[in-house]
Amino acid sequence: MDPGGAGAGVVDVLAAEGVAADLGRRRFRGGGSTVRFAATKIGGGLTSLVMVVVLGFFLFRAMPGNPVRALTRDRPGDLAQVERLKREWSLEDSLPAQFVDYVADLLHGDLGTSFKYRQPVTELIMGRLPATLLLTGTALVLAVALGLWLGTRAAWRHGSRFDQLATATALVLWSVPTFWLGLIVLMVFAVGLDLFPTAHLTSPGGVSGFVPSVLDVAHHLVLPALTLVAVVYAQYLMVMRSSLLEEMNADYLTTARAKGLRDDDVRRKHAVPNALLPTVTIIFLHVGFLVSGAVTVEKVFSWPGLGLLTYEAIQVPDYPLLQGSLIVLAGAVIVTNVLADILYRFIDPRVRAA
Amino acid sequence: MKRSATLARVRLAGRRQAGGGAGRTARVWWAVAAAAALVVGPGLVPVTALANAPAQAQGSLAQGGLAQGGLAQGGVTMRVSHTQEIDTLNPFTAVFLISTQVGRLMYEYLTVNSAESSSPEPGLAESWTTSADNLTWTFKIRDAKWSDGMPITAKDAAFTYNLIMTNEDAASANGVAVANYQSVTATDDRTLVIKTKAPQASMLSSEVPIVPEHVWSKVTDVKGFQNTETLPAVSSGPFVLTGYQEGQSTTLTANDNFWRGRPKVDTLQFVKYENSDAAVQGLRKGDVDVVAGLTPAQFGAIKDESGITTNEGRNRRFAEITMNPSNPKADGTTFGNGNPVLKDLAVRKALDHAIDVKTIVERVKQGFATPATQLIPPVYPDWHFTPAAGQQRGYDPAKANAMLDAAGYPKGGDGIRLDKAGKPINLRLLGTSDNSQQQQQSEFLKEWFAAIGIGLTPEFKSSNQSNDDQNAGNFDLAFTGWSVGPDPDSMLAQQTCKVVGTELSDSNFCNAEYDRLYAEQLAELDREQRKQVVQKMQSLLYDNVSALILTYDNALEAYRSDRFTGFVRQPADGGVITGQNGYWGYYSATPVTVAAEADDGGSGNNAVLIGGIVAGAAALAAIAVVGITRRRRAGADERE
Repeated sequence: MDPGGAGAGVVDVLAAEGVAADLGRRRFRGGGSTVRFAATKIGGGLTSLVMVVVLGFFLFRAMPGNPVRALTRDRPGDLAQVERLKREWSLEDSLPAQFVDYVADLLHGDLGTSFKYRQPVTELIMGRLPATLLLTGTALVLAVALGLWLGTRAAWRHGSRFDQLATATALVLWSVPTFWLGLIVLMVFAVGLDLFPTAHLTSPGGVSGFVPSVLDVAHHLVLPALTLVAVVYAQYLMVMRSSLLEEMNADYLTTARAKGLRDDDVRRKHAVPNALLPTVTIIFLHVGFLVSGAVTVEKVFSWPGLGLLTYEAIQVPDYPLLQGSLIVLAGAVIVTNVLADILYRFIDPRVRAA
Repeated sequence: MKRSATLARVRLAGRRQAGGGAGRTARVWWAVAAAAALVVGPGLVPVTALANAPAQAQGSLAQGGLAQGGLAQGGVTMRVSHTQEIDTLNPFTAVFLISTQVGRLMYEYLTVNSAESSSPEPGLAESWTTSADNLTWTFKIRDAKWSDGMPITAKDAAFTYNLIMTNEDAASANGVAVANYQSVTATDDRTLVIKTKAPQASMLSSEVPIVPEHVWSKVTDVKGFQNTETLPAVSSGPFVLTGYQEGQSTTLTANDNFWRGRPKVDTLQFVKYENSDAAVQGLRKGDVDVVAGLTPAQFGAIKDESGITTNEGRNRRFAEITMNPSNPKADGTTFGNGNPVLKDLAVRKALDHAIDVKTIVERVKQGFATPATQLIPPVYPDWHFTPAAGQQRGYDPAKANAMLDAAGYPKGGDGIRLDKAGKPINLRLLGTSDNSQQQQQSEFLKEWFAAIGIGLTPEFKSSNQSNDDQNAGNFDLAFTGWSVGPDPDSMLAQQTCKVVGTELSDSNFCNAEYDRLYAEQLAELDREQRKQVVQKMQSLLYDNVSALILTYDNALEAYRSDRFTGFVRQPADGGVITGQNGYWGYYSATPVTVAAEADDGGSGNNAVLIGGIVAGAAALAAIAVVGITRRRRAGADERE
């Protein structure tokens, strides 16, 4: 494969913008500071993570709610029990004292014990992570693939009936309330056509055997993934479409055509690589959010994801679980952002130059 | 030529693609093709499993989930949906209603609540006696076996109680039950002696799950123990826990050793639905057999569906509006900022007269409720209170106006009455924003209170914020409601002076005579005598308008009557199937036809799966052909 394909495309863009000469000069100094650049980005990421830890702690405690009341309701209780719970959860200690305890535990890698589940937060989160990533990951891959493909086609033949139909469909699905769409999908495909189960990651209790359980999970995955793809793919389509449209009249495409390249090759080897950059940015942004799950879809299809776990923790509020989830969710976003920053340096010469 | 051949193959795959050839982006096209296959054919199930990298990872995931759930499930499985989370299945720490429901099925108590009226009847204890001073209880333990075949003895019960009494972690859920216990000993295998510090009338409704000593003596960390570590979990009730998937399902298997006899359902599964609409769809489809907690709209929608029977069950919940009468807390500090007019009994009575509960029942609750009198619902006939003829208050705005006039609250210019300081009386009404019934009621209440010259400002907040405000006393009126247990003690205790302004208080009511009666009923071991005292207490609450008690709300449930029947309700007369103070509903469930139904859902799914596999394989093959052709073409392009 020729890396020159992408490289040539990028240079085409730069030439069009008239900054190639400038870049040429600066490119030589760029490489030397890569380590320092990475260190700065990673340092920035770590600073953000520390701020998330601090902010999360105080934010959740400033939030209304009383865990003791929430977890003793409708049960025989006495004042001794209320006192015991407050002591167990250190709710009567001063905020700074609680914070010091929390940070000390955190430094030992201990996210604490959930008030509600009485289980280590780490276990709860790790238990939900695979199901979360399976759903959001599958949906992201499908949505990106579908969005990029349709977006490219729509832009290349913009104004055509295909363009109009694809764009309109995507926008309608994008605008539809997820919960409503999910329930409709559930009623049509799960109940009406009786093709898929109505809920969960597996059949209740699971099935035995490797292949049957893979099929079982796949069977359960279809509707939630389909719903999630339907709701989100429009953003990839629209970004891909508009950035490709910007390239459509570029001189380098004329040059490429003049060289005698077929239309498909012009699109694939010259236009698309240049138009891909904004889309890659969005994809990276969304990869960070994969961990946070998709609360609404999880709620419709009773998918045991992290989004729901966090959402239900708010209602207590279950401070350790909320803090733990926030660190994991924010951590994922921060890590992918740092990675994206560093990767850009390799993908896009303009970043090296800046 | 080549190009059109490719096109034909793409058409084979079910998607029309313009253009041909592929180069560096071949991988993207592969993914697109997979996605297209998914979108095109909802029957192409396995495509997700075979065509996507993330889906590949699910093999190990499913295996992990199976680790605890893979037990053979022969026979008839009944599935019950629930929307509340299971906090834990450890009987010493589980507090959520659904968790204690599952707990009831696993662990017997010494005494259980009858299906008939929730009065105590023998459980693991066959019989019991009390000493003359009412301080010593002697229970004779039944000759029965744990699910693993070991004998159940008094030592197991003594072990359980002593664990709760000596280990703070084990006291999380049931500490209250033993708070008044002096000692618990097993004098022999069949005799359990409980000595209390003071007489305790609620003894027989204490609902403490008795656990097997030979299992639990090995548990070192009771707080962190989830009871799913070793399955099946040895227990004594009608069912044994055999599988658990956090956030998804709980599998229970019939206990062959249950002393009343094996249940008729072989496997009972509780499946968690995150929203009740999906659960109703699950019931229609047959994914679940029993659904509870329906809204009136859902109840109406499936009422006439064939194969489904709905049940409007008399339940143990009451709905009310509490007031903040500004009683001081136990430590003497003031409680919140309630409007001082609510200290005046005349005002509280007038508010009660102003509310047309019948309209609330008909228009807001859509008939699925009955007007309430006091705390204890009529499903507990022993404790329920009915006011005497002359005592009864009713909807009577004229009387309310007269009372307020007489009490010295003249109407101001805008029709709103003025308090003693000359300020217009405007009450805040706290509710939770996600509760539409409360919002509807508040519209009615605004009108009704305006008719007696009292302004009302509804404040709808998040349930957390509403909890905070109620806890801090920052409200005048607040919507609330409670689920009442089989013994009235707990609900009555929530109205005493010492809990004012704490998490436990219901009405923030404080009355010395009431507190005296509360102590009296707790020490009165004669049930008939105790009934009298409890009646007196509720009469006192009623006359003092401790709260605006509105309705007893019925529970709306539905089940697949084409698969299961014979559910015993609690109370037997028009009661509920789920959410009982007992295991009667699940224990009595009887399969309609044992043989035919066993694997109905399964075979249907298999047909779909097999069809899906074939279609999916065909689609994949087509995609592969396309992909290979494109790669070749790409190679050719470059060679050009």
